Amino acid sequence: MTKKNLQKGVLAGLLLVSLAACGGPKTMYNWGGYDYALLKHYKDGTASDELALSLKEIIEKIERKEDKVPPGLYADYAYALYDSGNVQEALVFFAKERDAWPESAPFMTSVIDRISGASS
Amino acid sequence: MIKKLIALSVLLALAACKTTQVDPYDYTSFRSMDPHSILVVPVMNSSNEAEAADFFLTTLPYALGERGYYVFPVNMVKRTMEADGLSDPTLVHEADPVRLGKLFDADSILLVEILKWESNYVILSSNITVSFRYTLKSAQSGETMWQNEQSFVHSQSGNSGNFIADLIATAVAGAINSMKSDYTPLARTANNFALYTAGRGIPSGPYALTYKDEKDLEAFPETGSGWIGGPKPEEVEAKTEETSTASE
Repeated sequence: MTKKNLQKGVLAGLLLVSLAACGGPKTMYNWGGYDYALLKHYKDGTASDELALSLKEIIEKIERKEDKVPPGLYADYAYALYDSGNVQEALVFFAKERDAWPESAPFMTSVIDRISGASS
Repeated sequence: MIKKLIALSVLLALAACKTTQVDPYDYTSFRSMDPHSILVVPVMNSSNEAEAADFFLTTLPYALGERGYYVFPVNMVKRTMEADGLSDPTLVHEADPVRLGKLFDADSILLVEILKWESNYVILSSNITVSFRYTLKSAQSGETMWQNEQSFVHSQSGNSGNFIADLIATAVAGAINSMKSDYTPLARTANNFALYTAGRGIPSGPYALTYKDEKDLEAFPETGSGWIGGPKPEEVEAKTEETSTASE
């Protein structure tokens, strides 16, 4: 083991220890870069269809691992779809947010009713 | 090098788990409201950096979600509020929380004001400072449940020993930072301190494993003092007395 590797190992170990001191480094959700996708969207001023594309990849990645999708992600994806004109797919993901989080149910239901009422 | 790292990590561990707070906030009203969901409304920006509000907004779902709460989709909420003529954060922050909450069926509303979001370049070093005021209001009663202020400073100083090299390195770092003005890594740290510190943060939410467990109840106690952040009730009273005496 070289000295540099040793230092790296010690650093990683110490970081783990300091994180473990407060409940461990494990997060509740797999965020998959949801927050960074939003940041990029605001920073670069990209359009909603581009945001939808990156959120779609993030959701697929999390679902493939069978991890828990964080709150708000399905709905933010659905909204990006809706905003770029893909209403049918948006409805599917608003419903997913509603089913995953009971707290979102009244709001999601009213959004779904409004959109499907307007599009039919 | 290794000794330094050990010292640093011990400090980190201590800071991360500071469980004793001499004078904790009173969580009586927070516990009785027991919010399950948080609506994050547009961030008020009192810094000179126009983009800070949007940048900062993106750090909140992680912070609040990992604390155990349902967080309404921040981009969707922002865009729908803008479409409804609620794009001015100042107006939104002054609006009736009960009416706002009803639009989304939220339990509580988080209002954040950015006080500072800046970098200062001072010859040999550059400082980045972020500072926020967080206010959580009940969407049922409209009253404030919790308030906290958090600042975080990051200093970069050149110390290679070569004066000119340091000067250039610092200038370059300062220029890069001020061009992007993306200080979200510091904002994340500030959020963690604001939300997790015992006696100052918010209790674990319903999705957290620590929700209402013994440690959580101890860290965020119902003291009955009525102090939920900001000036203490007795200080406010004292001030009111002072002003009334002065006006006599």
